[in-house]
Amino acid sequence: MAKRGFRLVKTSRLSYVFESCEPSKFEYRVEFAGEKSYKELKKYCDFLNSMGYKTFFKNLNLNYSIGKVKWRPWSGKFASTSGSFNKELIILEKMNDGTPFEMHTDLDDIIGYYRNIRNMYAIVSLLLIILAAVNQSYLLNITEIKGWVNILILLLCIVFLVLVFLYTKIVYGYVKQKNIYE
Amino acid sequence: MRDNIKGGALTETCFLILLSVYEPNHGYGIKKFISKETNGRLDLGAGTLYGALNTLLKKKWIMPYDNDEDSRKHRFIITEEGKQVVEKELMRLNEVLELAIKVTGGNKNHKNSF
Repeated sequence: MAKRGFRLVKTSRLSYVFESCEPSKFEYRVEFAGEKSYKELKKYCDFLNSMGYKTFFKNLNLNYSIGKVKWRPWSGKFASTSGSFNKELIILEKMNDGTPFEMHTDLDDIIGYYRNIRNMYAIVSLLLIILAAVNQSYLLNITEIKGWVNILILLLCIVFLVLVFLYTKIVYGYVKQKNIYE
Repeated sequence: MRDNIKGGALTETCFLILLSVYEPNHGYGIKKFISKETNGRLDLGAGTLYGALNTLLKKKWIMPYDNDEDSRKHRFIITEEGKQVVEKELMRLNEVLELAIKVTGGNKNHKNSF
C-alpha cells in the first residue's frame, strides 16, 4: 500500500483507513508485542514516538468485550479489555529517507523476539491438546458429535504446531550464527 | 549481557551505548551517535536499543538524566559503575588489539599506532 501511495491513518478491529500520498513516501514495519502489559506497551510506544516513528495498534484476534480479563501464560501477565486486548501488534511508520528501518539488529534481541512468538504459539498448541484430551476422556458415554469436535481441535492444533516449527527454525538459524558472530 | 561468562566481554551494542551516554543523551541521539561514530556500520534498531537501554538501567550502568525543559525526550547518563565497566572493557580491547597486531604484524589501515 505504501508503494502505491497510501498512508495509514487509522486502524480498528476490522479495518485500516488510508489517505493518499506520494508513492513510497512512508515505510512500515509490524512488530509483535502481545507479551507486553499495557504499561509496558505505553512505555515502548512513547520511546518509539520519541525516536520519530508513528505507532498504531492492531489486534491479532478479534475481541469484543467489556471488562474482560485474560491470563496470558507465555508472558505471565494479565491482559484486559481496557488494557492490552486488541493491541498485540504495533504498526510503525517512518518517512522513507533512505535510512535503514530495522527494529532488531542485535542477535540476542532477534532471538528473544522470535522465541517469544514461538512460545506463545507453543502454549496455545499445548492448551488445545489438553482441551482435546479432557474432552476425549468424557467422550466415552456421550454422542459421537463430540468426537468430531476433538478432531477439529486437533486440526487447529496442527496449524499452530506448524507455526511453532517455523518459528523454531528461524530461532535456530540465528542461534547458530551466534557461535561465530555476536 | 554476558559479564560473568566468556571473559567478561560486553556486546558491541552495549559498549557503544555506554560510550554514547558519557554526555546526557536520548534514544534518538544515541542512535545517531553510534551510526556516525561507526561510519554507518552499526545502525541500531529501535527495538534493540529499547531492550538494551532497559537492561543497562536495570544493571545501574546508566541512569535517567532529569531534564525539566522537555519531558517527552527522556535522556540517560552513564553512572560511576558504568564508567568502571567501560574502563574494564577498554583494557580488554587493548589486550586483544595488541595481541592481534603482534600476531598479524600490524594493520596497514590502522590510524593510531600503539
